[in-house]
Amino acid sequence: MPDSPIPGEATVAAPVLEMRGIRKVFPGVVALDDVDVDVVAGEVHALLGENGAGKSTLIKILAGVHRRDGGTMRVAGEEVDFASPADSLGRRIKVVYQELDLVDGLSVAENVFLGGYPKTPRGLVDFAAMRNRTRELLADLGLEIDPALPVGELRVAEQQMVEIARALSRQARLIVMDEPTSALSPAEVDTLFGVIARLKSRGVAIVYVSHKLDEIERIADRVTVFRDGRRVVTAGVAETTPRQLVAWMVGRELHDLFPKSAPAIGGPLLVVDRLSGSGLRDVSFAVNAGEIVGVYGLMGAGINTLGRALFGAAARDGGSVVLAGAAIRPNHPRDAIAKGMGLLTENRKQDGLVLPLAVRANMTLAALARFADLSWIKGGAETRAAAEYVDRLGIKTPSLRQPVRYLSGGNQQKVLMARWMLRQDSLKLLILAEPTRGIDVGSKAEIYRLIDAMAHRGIGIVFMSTEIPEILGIADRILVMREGRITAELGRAEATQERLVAAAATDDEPLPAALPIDAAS
Amino acid sequence: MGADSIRTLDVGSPAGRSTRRPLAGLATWLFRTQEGVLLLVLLALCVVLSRLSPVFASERNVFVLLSQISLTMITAVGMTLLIVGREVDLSVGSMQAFVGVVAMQTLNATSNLFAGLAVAILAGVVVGLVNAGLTLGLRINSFIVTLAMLTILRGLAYTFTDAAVQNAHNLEAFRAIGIGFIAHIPGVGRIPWPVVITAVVFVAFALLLTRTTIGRYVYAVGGNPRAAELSGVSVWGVKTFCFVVTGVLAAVSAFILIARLNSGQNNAGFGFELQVIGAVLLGGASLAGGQGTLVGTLLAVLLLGTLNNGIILLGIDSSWQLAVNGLIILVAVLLDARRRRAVGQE
Repeated sequence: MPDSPIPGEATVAAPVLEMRGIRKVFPGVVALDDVDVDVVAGEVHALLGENGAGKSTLIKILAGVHRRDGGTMRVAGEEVDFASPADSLGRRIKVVYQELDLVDGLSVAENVFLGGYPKTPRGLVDFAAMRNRTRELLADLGLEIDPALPVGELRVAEQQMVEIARALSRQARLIVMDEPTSALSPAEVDTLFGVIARLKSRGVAIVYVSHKLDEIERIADRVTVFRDGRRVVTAGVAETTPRQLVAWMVGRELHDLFPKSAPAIGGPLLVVDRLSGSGLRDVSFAVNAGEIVGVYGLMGAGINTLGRALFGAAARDGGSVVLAGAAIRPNHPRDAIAKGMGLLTENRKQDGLVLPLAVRANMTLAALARFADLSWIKGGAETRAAAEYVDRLGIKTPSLRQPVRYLSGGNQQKVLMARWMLRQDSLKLLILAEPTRGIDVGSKAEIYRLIDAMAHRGIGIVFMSTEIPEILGIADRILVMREGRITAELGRAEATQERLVAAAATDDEPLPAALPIDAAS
Repeated sequence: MGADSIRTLDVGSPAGRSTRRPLAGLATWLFRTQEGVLLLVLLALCVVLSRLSPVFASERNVFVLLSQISLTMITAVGMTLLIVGREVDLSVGSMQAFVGVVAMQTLNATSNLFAGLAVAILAGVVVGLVNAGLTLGLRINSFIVTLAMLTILRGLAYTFTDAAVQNAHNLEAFRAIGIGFIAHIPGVGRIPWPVVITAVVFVAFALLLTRTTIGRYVYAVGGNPRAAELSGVSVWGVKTFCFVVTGVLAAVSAFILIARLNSGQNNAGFGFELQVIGAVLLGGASLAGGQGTLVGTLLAVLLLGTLNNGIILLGIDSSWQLAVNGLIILVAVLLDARRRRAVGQE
């Protein structure tokens, strides 16, 4: 723990941002309660907390998206009240969201200066000046990206850099980054951290929101931990340990993140033979009953496509998928479900949840026939089953009738897990695509335990993830994918971080994108 | 808890059962849900009208009012399913004319009530299937598809007859469907057939929507078709079902209409579709799908019907009816937009 009574207060500079006693209430929940945060120039201040702890609400207040219900906010000593995002930008605060607000069709330079193009003396847009200025801004960040290129053609990591350059073009003094690494490869993360270091040295303050403790260890100076809408602590990162951070975040000591038990692997269950289409190329593998097969790959390597192709939810050009002796038809998810397959998609809100429906209705959606005579739903049986899983999975919800929209991300994910667990009697194979994405540590451990328990019942699990630690922690066998192919198959004993990275890495180094500088002219 | 969160159905359990404090729950329902607010406005309107007009609360007027709204209500039941399922059908107005003339012609040709009814329902099924096939098969917005169908059916009705197909069969039971009474119930009065038919349709589909798997699937498909499909629900099947139900119920209402008018008229049902859709939206269903209840639709239809009845009773120029209806639909759409924005802000 830090020596000074108020951690980090030793820093001399006047705070860029001071939030005091911030309160925000949404229907039915207090999202933030009496929260204090201050950020000084040139520091990286991490916000850490489980889903629903209040981090997102805080940055939305900072961005002028939500209005606070209580407390005070000062920027560079002046009291402010943001009614809209424009007010926040006007105070030189820039929020870089996970979904970037760039216009795909416009060039890098046009995006950087969007809303304030430089003009020639005759009042026309000065494209040359704009490109040069953009190149300078990017060069300041140590990047070479062609300012004339349409943003839509850039990688996500490069688009992020464009957003940061855009912030600099407006002399931002505070940049908020909301889980900036969730779509980046390790090399791209290194580049981003280089950029953050440069920003720091120029006196820009950074608010860094992340779940990833190792990242916070690497780049943050101070960290504020949230739990249930309250600030637990603000501490210097150097004076804490990951274990301590997790304890603050979860409110208890978390002993075993990967509760892996000895597997009981049975006979062959799923046989995939030369599956192609939707970017997949000749994918062949097998899964045994009770086995957890991990599939690792970088973003865009095709792991999520593989999940959909197995399930019949992505176009298939050739090859076959056979589950327990029965061929799964392409383009027909209902056939896959009828034959015992389940798919937890990587995109909760788009493909998983029915947001306006209640928690219970979402849970029982795939297993509704179980609770019905002919078509008549036996309400009691359905309620009992849903209540049981709310209990077992520790889903935090005021009632079974609460629309699932109002649950936090982690609890929503558990609802979707329950949807397939309720089908356990007929489920043979469960495909999990990024089941822990955007989920806090405490919920993660619970989800791993559930997966382990399902495997023990003889269900085959295909566990797809872009995060190495969880793959190593949970899988009995690991497949690595690159560009739609399987490039390695490793047993649990032989799998290491280095081997996975080596098999997944593409030949061309992703960032910095070494584009010829003359391409711009 | 927001109005939205309460109003959203967990389809399948009796309302308010989980509320620990029944009175507080009732108050929240009344003031915070669309149904509750509609009920309050309706009651207030009834109190005002019965003060202003001695006729309003009479048995006769009440049943006239209920008879009048029965056609809108029967069709609105189907439309509620369809809008909850994130589709819409604009052709229900023209169906009043098309199904009417075809059914009347059949009655004249066969002098058989059931033949006429069967042809009407068959026409409803066919129109529903065609609407569904074009919308789902060609992936065209149902708004566009059924707008075309609206014009086609009206055109067909015009080619079928110059003005109207008159009753040439004189079946007694036929007239009863439109203007007859089922029985005299002591203390209540004589109950018109259309009101009974409406009640049966309402109860049957309210149960279907809240207590059966197909009803649940309608909400799921409307709320998130991708998620429903990936959970094993047949989106095609569910939406086709909703289109066909709407077609059949519009045909039933057309049949009652010709019985009431004693002729199948080619200009019947002009603007009927807007009246129906307006009522469904006022009842709390959202064009974004996945939301809406039949209780809400019923209250909205009652409210609109009472308002029109009041305009007539108070001797206000009946031309105002259209304008007032339009205004209320505008309010309904604004409420829907506000709800959607509130949700989008999460």
